[in-house]
Amino acid sequence: MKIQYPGLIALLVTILFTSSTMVISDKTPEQILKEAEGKRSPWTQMSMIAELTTNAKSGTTISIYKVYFKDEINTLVAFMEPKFEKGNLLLMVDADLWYYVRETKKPTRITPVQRLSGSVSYGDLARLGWSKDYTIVSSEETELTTETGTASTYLLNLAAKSQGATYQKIKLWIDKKTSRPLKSEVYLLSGKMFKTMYFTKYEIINNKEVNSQIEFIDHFNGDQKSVLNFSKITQEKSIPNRFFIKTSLAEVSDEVSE
Amino acid sequence: MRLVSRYKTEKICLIVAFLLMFGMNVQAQTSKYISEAEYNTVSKKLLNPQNIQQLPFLNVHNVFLYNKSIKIWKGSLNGNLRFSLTNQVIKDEINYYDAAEYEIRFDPNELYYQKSFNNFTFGIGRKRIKWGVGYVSSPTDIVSNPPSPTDPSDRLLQIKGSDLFQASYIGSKSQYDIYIMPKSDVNNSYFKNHSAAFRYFTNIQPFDISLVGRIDLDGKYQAGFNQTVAIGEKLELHSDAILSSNNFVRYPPDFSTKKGIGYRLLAGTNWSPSQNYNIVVEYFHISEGYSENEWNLLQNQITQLNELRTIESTAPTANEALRTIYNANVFPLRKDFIFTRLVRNNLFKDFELEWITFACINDTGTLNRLGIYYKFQSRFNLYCHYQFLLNESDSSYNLYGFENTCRLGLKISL
Repeated sequence: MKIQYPGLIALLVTILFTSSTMVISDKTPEQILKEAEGKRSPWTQMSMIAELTTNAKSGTTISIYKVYFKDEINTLVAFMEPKFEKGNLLLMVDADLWYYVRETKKPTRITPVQRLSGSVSYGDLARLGWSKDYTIVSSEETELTTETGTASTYLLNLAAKSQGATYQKIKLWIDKKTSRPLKSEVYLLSGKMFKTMYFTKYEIINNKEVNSQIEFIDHFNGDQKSVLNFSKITQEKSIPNRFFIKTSLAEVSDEVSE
Repeated sequence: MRLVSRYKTEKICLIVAFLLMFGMNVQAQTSKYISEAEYNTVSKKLLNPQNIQQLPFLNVHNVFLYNKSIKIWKGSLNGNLRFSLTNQVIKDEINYYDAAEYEIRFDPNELYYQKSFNNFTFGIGRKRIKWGVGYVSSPTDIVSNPPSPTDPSDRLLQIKGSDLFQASYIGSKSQYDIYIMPKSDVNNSYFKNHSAAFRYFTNIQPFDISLVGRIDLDGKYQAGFNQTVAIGEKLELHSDAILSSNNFVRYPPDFSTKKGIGYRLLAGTNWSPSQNYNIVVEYFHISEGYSENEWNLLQNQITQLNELRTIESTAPTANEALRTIYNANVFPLRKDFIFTRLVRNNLFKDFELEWITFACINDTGTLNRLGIYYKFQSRFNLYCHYQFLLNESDSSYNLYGFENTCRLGLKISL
């Protein structure tokens, strides 16, 4: 049988395999990503303590932050340790990120990719989800082998919606059975791989499974390793609006440094 | 040697009460220590022949800042206490001796209690309020003083808060603030009477906008606005403007003030072309600054006073007049300025380079500062500044007291 319109068929096949709404398994890539995000931020309002341990040549450093999330787009990070940084704040509203220094009382605009400490960027702490900042450009099913074993995963290739996103490209491996994010590789605008992250621990809190540890490997810094542990993950009833207004950070700084 | 001690009973009571609260629930406690040595070449021109202003060629500052928050009655008591010891060496060219002086100070820069209920926040005490959006001297900083253009980062932590009562309401995208400020020593930079200030802040995408105002019992007022807008990730534009009903500047030839409304305007940009660079450029206009004619009149008067200094009988009067003019002049003196700041991070590992230029458009004089900062072991910051004037001849920068300044300092966060 002679195939008519071979060009058109090739185009349809290409669209089918590259569309972000393509169905892999019984879920769409958007559903898969949404479920994975639910493992990092299961509630619309939540708070947690983030402890960042960095192993550098000069020694190990530990930083502690209290983080408040509200409605996916609002994040407030309060610096708790080291002591001399206590009272400093990081505010993220939509794609805008501000760093408030208690000493100067002035918020300064920064970019999410700027380094917070060790291998971790500001955006790594201030954003738990991906779908607000990235679109799915392709997806596939693949096996992922890590230190803990081999898992069947969905591999999503994400591209930044704007240059304001923390990274320009992300490869994200999500466990097919549990919907847990397992690994991600993040890339800069230049195309170079910046970091690899492993989502290494999960806990059950209020009947929800939540990611409680991420390991970062910084390829720009001699594969320096940092570990971010989340504890006291709490569903909040109502986080005040004042936590997310740039002009009220002086008052909030005094309030949240508990 | 002279000891200038500025302890006052109420200050001592405040700090003792604050320190006694160690047993309470401490929210945050940080401190900073700054030690800085500064060498100046003193300008001997115009207002300072033979160093009659007694300007020091050597300054050594030791500053300790103690910052503490205490949780009390579900609110927080916050203190920001500054202790300093300043040593100075002054070359007295009239009497041919070097005078060494020192000054010990204690300043409660901030000490206030604050409590929040739902979307309301109330505060009382001395608090530093930052409203302006400019990097250099923001006109809408009308509650607490902005930093000096010659030291925009307030490196010695000298800015004090204002004594006030605060009530704020914070909505999802807007904020309302009211401040009541009694007549007090720290509140009298512009208003010499009891006054009230307000601010309305809102976000109208993509603009952050604030409307501000302050009025005192005599009817003197200031009113203005500021805005910031981000364009992409790398560029921010901001503007800041204020109208004032009063003008304290004294103008030659008789050094009287002028009546009428004055205004200050700042427009600038903050650009980060890459992660390692940050550039701030700001235009600053002061309507009450000296015109060309007023500047020429002032120079003529200063020249005449310098001639009178050569006559023995009129020298003391002339010296006194020069001192009065020097102390009355608020730098900057003219109308139009450009401020630029270039920062290069990671020059080498943990090194930062900063270049600041504050230039007068009207007379092309500039004050420049090159700074190198080295941060080590997280809490130590070593810095070195070299500050100098360019085109100062025939410019208002000729009235500035120092031609060159070298500074070496260490800042430790404890």
